[in-house]
Formats: sequence, structure tokens, C-alpha cells
Amino acid sequence: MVALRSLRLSPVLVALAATILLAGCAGNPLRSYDKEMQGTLQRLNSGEVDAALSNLESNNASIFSSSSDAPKDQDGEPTEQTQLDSVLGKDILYYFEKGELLKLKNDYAGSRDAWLVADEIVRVWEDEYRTNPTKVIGEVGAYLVSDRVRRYDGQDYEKVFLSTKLALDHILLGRFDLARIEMKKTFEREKLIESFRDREYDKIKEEGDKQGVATTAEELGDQGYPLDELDGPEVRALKNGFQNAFAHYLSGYFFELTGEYSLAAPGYRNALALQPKSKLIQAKVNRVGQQKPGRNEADVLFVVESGFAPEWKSITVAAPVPINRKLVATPISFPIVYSSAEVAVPRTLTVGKKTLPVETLVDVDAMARRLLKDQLPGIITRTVVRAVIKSTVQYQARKRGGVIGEVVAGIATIATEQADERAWRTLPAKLSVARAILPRGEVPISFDTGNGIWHGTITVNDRMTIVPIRVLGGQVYLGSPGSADIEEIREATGAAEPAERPAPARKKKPVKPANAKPQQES
Amino acid sequence: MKFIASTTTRLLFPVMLAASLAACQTTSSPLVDGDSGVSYGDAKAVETVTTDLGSTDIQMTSEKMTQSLLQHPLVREIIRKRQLVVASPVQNKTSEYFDTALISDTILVQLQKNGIRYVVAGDEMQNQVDELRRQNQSGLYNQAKTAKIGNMQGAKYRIDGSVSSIKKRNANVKDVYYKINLRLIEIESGIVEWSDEKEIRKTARR
Repeated sequence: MVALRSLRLSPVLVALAATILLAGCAGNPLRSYDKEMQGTLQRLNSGEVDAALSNLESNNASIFSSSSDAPKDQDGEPTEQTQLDSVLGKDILYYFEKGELLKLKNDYAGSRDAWLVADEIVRVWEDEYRTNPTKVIGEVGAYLVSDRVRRYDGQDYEKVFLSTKLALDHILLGRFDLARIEMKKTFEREKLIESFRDREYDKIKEEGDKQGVATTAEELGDQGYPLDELDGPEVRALKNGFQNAFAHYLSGYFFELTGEYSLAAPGYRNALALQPKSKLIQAKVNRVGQQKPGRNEADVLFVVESGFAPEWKSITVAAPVPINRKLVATPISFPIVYSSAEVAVPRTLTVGKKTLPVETLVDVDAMARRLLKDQLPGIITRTVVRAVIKSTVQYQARKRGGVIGEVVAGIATIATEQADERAWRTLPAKLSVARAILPRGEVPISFDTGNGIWHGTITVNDRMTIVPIRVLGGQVYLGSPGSADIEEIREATGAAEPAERPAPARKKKPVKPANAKPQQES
Repeated sequence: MKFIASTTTRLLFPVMLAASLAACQTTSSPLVDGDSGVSYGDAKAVETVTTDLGSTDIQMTSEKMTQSLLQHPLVREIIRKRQLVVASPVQNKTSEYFDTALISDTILVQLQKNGIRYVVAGDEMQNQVDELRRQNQSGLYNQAKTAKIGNMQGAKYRIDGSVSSIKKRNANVKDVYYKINLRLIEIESGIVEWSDEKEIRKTARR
């Protein structure tokens, strides 16, 4: 007790202790996001979306025990607080996952609304970087606490995916004006991330030089860090860890059908730059607008998502840390993304009498590993700098607070020194597409899920039709095809028209829940 | 004395006029100013925010192309004979999401101010067809006064072109070279009667 009283906590210790007090909220350093999400993912694999949603909600339940304690708006109604409102508010991951789950329920409006909240959080980060890049870049090397306690703004590829998925939701909801804006935003976001990473790299190098940190990824590899996981051919084939070939292909598809060929062409060209072997994209580059659906046909895009995005794990290795001018091998945690088990992607879709090849445009698994590979030098610098500072803190605590002070500092160090495992887990591991001009009306569809042949029916309404499909093990979620008459799109976007006049607008048939009558053959 | 009075009047008049105009200025539209930091700027100001194609590139290109076109003898002939021109879409061969209608629309506006007549195309063509159908087929209009189907005029010449780019970058410099090419083609023969290009180089240092 005497020792506790005599303990004079330094600001650093206070900061470390505060992180522990955040237990139960998004920034809780003891939170294992991967473990937390296991229940949700298992339920999705069993086709129980509602149960998965309930699980997500219970994991993110407010710390306020009753509605009377909850924050209220001006009218006295309980409000949902996000991480922008309070440190106790719901974080971006909750909105990422919720949007995905609602989309699997074909609740596109709910999904869009959840993702719009997530997008607002990303936009705050973007605005911070635009208005004060020096401050945002400066924070790169200024954290005393673990990466897992930092505000999570989403991984780079998640930020781009969010915008792409929002564009898809807008199309599925028939809001083509908003989809158009979202697509342009996606590419601005890509450029912003590119600029941020360039400047961050310089800052990290400067910070490392200043602190005398010269630990390299190779040295980490020598100490047991599985560098091979980050160096597969699929990882090396990527330009970076955030650009999304599907986002560009979707733009090509959308702008081609709206007749805006000067915007469609760069869409296909950028997609090809990211996926140079794709025959589907090659067939479109320099041939924009050459293949148009007839009066009673539609240009149908099948978006096939398979599996879950990889988990980020924490691995502890003995890294060389400069302490008292000597390099001391110190156990430190770093994140690692292991390549996940093979995800079943249907090789073809049988739609009506046609067999369509399915091509994978986005491998999130490889993107995550590429992102980690690119960010590893920065993570090493930050982590090692932190280790140096924490060793100083422990020394000071022992000096001022005796044994108890050292124990308190030690607990804080252990609690905060786990690598960041947070990631949008319900994202697909792979996103693939198939495309064909099909007659309007009900069309049977079947494909191999890896666990047997799945049969269903889609309704092709008008000239632009997008069919979302999610394959999770043997479970198939077939979305309601989003379709629209080109005139609606042109009206909404003010876009140019294709040379051929589209067929007159038809009243849309109510779409049956597409996975209502699936038949599985083994 | 009379001279002094008249001189004073002559000197005072402009001063009073300026003062009264200044008073008018203070009673112009009120400004709603929040904390957003939004302000109006000169639309012709040189913009160098990024190396992407921007407003200054469109203005430079349109101005150069219009001047070049207007100096061509054939274009003077087109103006004199009141022949028609149509603009085909300018192809975007770059990897930038850039709406090339920004270039062709600006050039058409400048050409029209100099006497060139052009016919609608693209989305305007669809609106034109819709309007003709509405007037002639909806049953809502007095048929004696409607614009009749079958009287639209085809163009004798068309303008088309493309925008291409080469991008290079290293650790310190990003360099982009753009080439914007335009052509005037006689539709019947396919002969390219005029062509010109505008080169733009934009460099950014980190």
C-alpha cells in the first residue's frame, strides 16, 4: 500500500493503464478480434445469417446495461455511438461486418446504411490526411502503445473494398447516380492511399534512423518470423496491397452500359493492369461498346464471392532491440497473415444453355499478405521503437515505484504488446466474375460449389443486371439481381446513350428470394 | 472662375460616380459564410494540384485546337457555306477516369461562337429523338405545329480525336506526358481534312 502510494505514475504509465481500462470497447488491447468473429463465421457457413447477425450484435453490445443509460439524442431517443463520437462507440469493423451480413440477407438498404457509417469513419481519416498530412504521417512513429490500441480505420484494401461494395449496393438498389459518384470516389481513395503510403515510408525511415532501429524483415525471418508466407508468387504478382481489379472492372461494365465510353475504357485498362492474364478483361480493352445486348437481352454480370478474408495473427519472435546501446534479443509480437486453405471458386457457371467461365479478379488473401509485406518495415520500426521506450518505462517504474511499480508497468506492457489482429473477416477470400449477354426472363443457374452442384434461378429484367453470389463451403447465398433499364440510368446519371435505342421500360417483376428453392446434388 | 467651376465639376463627377458605384457594391448579394473554408476562385486560374488532367489542360487544349481549326481555310469555307459539323466521342486511351466530353464540348462552344453550326450527337441525340417522338406520337400536340420527323440534317464533317498518356515515376519524380489529338474528317469520303495535337507534360516532385 505504501509502495502504491509512493508510486508516482509517469504520463506514459497513465497512458498504458488507460488502455487496460478500455476493456470491453473497440480499442480494448485484450480483445482478440479473430476469436470474437469465429462464432459469426461458423453461423454463416451453416447458412444462419440471422444467428450470425445476433452474434455480431452481442459481441458489440453497448457497455450501457439498460436503455436508460444509453446516450440519447435531442428528442431523448437512444442513439448508436460510433468510434467518431466516443472511445466507447462502435468501431468501423462492426459496420464492415454488419454491412456484409445484411447484404447476404439481401437487405441492400440496411447493408448500404451500415457501410455508409463505415465510410464516414474512413472519410474522417482521409480528411485528416488531406488537411494535415504532416500530423497523420507524424503519428506513424509516435505511438507508445500497441498497434492494436490505435484507432482502426481499416486496412488499405478494406477501404477500397468498402467503396466498391457501396457502389455495388447502390447499383442493386437502382441508385445509379450514387453508384457513379462512389466509383469515382474509389479511385480517388486509391490515389490517396498511394500518396499516404509513399510519405509514410519516408517518415518511417526517418524515425528508424533517429531511434537507431535498423532491424530488417530478413533479420526477423532469421528469428523465426514466417517471411515465406508473405512472398508467394500470388503476392509478388500484385502491384500493391490495395488496388482492386474488380472495382475497375465494375466501372468498365457500368460506364460501358451507360454509354460513357471515355470512362469505361480506363476502367477496363486499369483492371487489366492489375490482372494482366484475365481473358475476360482482355476481351473488353479496346473493344468498349462493341458488344451490345439486343432489345430483349441483358448484359449480365455475375459477382461470385468465395470464402472469408484471411485472419491476422500475432506471432512473437525475438527481435534485436537497441537497449543501452546494445542489441538485445527481445520477444516482440508481430502480425502475420497465413495463406488460408484453398477456397472453392466455381470454374464455370451454367446459365440457361450457356456455360460461362468464372475468372478470379481479386484475391483478398494475397492482397492482405502483400499489404503486410509492404507495411512490415514500418511495423518493425514502430514496434521496436516502442520496445525501447517501454524498457525505459519499466526501468523508471522500478526506480520510482519499486517492485509494484515494475509489476504494473509490466502488466501494461504485456497487455498492449500483442500484434494487431483486426481485419474485416466477412470479406470474401476471392472475388470472381462471369459475364454474358442473356435473354430477359427467368433463367436457371447451376454451378459446382466444391460440395456438390447447386441449382437455382435468376430473373434477368433489363439491360444491366448484376447477380451477387456468395459461396461459403457448401452454402450458397444468391442475391436478388440488381437490374435497371438503361433509360433509368441515363436519367439518374446524365450519361450518354449507346447507339442502339434500348427497349422500353418494363415493369419489374417481383424478385423471388433467389436461394429459396436451391437443390443440392452430391 | 467659370473655368475653375467647370474643371471642378469635370474632376468631381468621376469621383462621385466611383463613390456611388462603390456604395452599390456594398449592397450586393449578402455572403453566407460558415466555417467551411469554401471560397470562389478564378475559373481560369492555373491548376497544379496533381498531375492528372485538369481544368487548365482542358482550357489550353480547347483554345489551341479552336484557334488552329479557325485558321484552316476549309473551316472558313464551312462557315461561309453554313455546312454542318458533328463531334464524335473523343477516345480516352489513358488510365485516368477523365470524361473527354469536357474537351469536345468546350471546343464546340468556341467554334459556334465563331459561326460554325453543329448538329447534336450522343446523349443529346437521344433527347432529340425522344422529343420528336413525343411531339408526333404521343397525341398530345397540335400536329399542324409540331416539328416533323424526317427533317433532321446530317453533318458533312465530323470531329474526333483521342487522349493518350505515358506515365513514368521514380522515388522522387512523377512525370506524365499527355498527347491530345483532334481531326476534322469529311464524312462522305473519310478524308482527314485537318488535324492537330496538343502535348502536355506534368511533373510532380515528392
